[in-house]
Amino acid sequence: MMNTINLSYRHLFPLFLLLLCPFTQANALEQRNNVSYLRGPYNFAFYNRHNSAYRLQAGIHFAHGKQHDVLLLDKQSNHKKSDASFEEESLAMTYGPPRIEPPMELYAPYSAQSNYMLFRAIDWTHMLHEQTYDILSAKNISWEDKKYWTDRIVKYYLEELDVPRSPAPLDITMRRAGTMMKPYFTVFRNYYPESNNYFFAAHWWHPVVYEAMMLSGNGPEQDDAVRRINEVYFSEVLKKRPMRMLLSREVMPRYSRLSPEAANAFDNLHMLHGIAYDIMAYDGWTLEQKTAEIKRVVKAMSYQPGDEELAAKFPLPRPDYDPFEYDDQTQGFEGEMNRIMMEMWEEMMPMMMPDGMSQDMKKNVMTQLRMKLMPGMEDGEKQGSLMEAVKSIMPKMKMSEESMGAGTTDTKMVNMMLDGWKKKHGDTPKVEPIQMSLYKGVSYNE
Amino acid sequence: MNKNVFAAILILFLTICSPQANDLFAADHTNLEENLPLEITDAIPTPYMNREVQSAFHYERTEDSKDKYEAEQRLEYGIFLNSQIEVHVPYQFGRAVDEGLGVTEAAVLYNFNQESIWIPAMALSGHALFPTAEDTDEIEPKAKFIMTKTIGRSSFFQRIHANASWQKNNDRHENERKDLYSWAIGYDCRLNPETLLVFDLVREMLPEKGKDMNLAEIGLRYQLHPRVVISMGGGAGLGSDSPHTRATFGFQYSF
Repeated sequence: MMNTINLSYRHLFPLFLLLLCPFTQANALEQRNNVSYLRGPYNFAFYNRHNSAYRLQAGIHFAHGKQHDVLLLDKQSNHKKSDASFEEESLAMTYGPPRIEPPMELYAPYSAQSNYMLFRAIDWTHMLHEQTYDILSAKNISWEDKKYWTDRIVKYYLEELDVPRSPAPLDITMRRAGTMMKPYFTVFRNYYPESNNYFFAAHWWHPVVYEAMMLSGNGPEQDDAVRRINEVYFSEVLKKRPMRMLLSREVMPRYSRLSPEAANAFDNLHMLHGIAYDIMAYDGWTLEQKTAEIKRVVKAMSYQPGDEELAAKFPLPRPDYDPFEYDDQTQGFEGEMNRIMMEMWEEMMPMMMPDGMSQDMKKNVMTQLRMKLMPGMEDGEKQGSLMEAVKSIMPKMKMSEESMGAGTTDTKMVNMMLDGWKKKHGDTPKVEPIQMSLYKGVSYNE
Repeated sequence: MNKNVFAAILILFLTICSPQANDLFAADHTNLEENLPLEITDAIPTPYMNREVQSAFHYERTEDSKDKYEAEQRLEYGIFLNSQIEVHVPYQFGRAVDEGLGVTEAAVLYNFNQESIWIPAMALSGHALFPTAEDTDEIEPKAKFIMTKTIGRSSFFQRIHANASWQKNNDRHENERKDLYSWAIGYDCRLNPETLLVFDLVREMLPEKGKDMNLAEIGLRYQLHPRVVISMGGGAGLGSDSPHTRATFGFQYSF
């Protein structure tokens, strides 16, 4: 006679726990490791004082979040349709934004399951955006004290989570990331130009809000200044979007002098967005390979010991920049971001083409490089990523496995680029700290 | 100490800890808390160093058609990475119960992992239930295992949850069980950026031998402000030992 097993609740509960033990011990498990905001007398001043700007930011961050899932779950071959529909959705959310700032996983729950470290890095830096806006918005913090509170939150940002963006300039972190010759680089900007340029416009908006506040001070003029920035954004910037990712030093030079560390962390975040989208849009890798590469880039562009010493070493091309004036120079291709890219390219060339190349080949390569760095595809532009385009012109180009692979770093090439930066810019003087009393805000102390 | 005095002191303490001004932190409508508004909870802890005051008002029409009301105050704190501690202080009244302090509770939750494509997020919570209610004399331990898994590929943030708990019934009378188990499964999704819809099904052993209650619940959680989440939910009992109905209004305030 067969014995029957009578399972009661009493047996089921420990059995249930036992079944889960292998999962909990697996090394592959990633922890959430989330950390709360820093408390201060300024918390949520931006929400309370500039609610329409706060909500606009929430709309932009909706797009930032959801773009991950859109790219990861769609095929690159569907890029035209995907780009058009997502840009339309992003604009709809920009004109009718959410009431509350969203974490990345709220609109990208699929990507959160494979790239949570990326989302922690993004959310944490969005927290820095919000708190630094709060500090400038808070009337109860005197104009002279803005620097103290900003430095306090920057310190918290760098120390309390394991993946803050680096306070070093993008010139350093882009070289450290070594992404230019990866097979995904430029895919997003070339094949999803509408969405890409939506983010280029967003990366105009974020810094100029700081700059508008720096010029208007604590008093009622600040309300008007932020409102005017939003007007320029909707009436001009969204209609004719920038052709490059604008850096803090270009469009918020005064705030970059107040906190070079925060300015660089924002640039490093904005570039990380673009690189993550490139990786997710690229069809040639598996999900595991994409995850490995994203983790590598997140770490490479993170805060590393000594980065703070380099924080203020960047040029200020237009120290008296007018954030309310959306001029040709702001809109165009020429600027700091592409200068950095061109410099990196020159630094890599001796290693990739040790025997040199003809002038014609060099001219062709530079033409393709320029086209690849521009959003969209132009007549004569080769298909694929930057690496695929230049490889077709320079078939003898020497590439290491590490420089092209997923999750790997070509240390030799990275060091070569960092040496190149030291030679060119190692002696760059640090930007001069700003004297808050020289700016308009001092007359509005409350 | 008189139990009502104890309750008053605890509730006063929790109220004093509540925020006074703009000293706040973003609350999170997607982070399900027990009975805010449904029994189902998720495996996600509050962030390290986050603080939250939670209030809930529960109504229940019991299986013998009596009314039970409970006003509950809680304090939650992210004490370590991936961990939270909580204190619950309920005050109950109505024909179904002896008016006064209910069973106060202290709990700690630890989250083991962020979910991956295949592995759910998992958490374990340990609770101590203190004998602050009428007819209670012993501290009772309770443990709960929690799993959360995102499903589908849409951006609607759809998740399923499973909770399994065990409680030692140290205050048992004759004809009562020594161990009490309960199970719950739930589903939630984002209706719009600020609103979450939640469902659950609960099966819970009652202390009296041979009696189990079953409950089906539905609720909403709404992010009213970056620091405030409000919630409401209701449920109906299934089976003769189950309550007829339940309703909850909740309020969470991060500071």
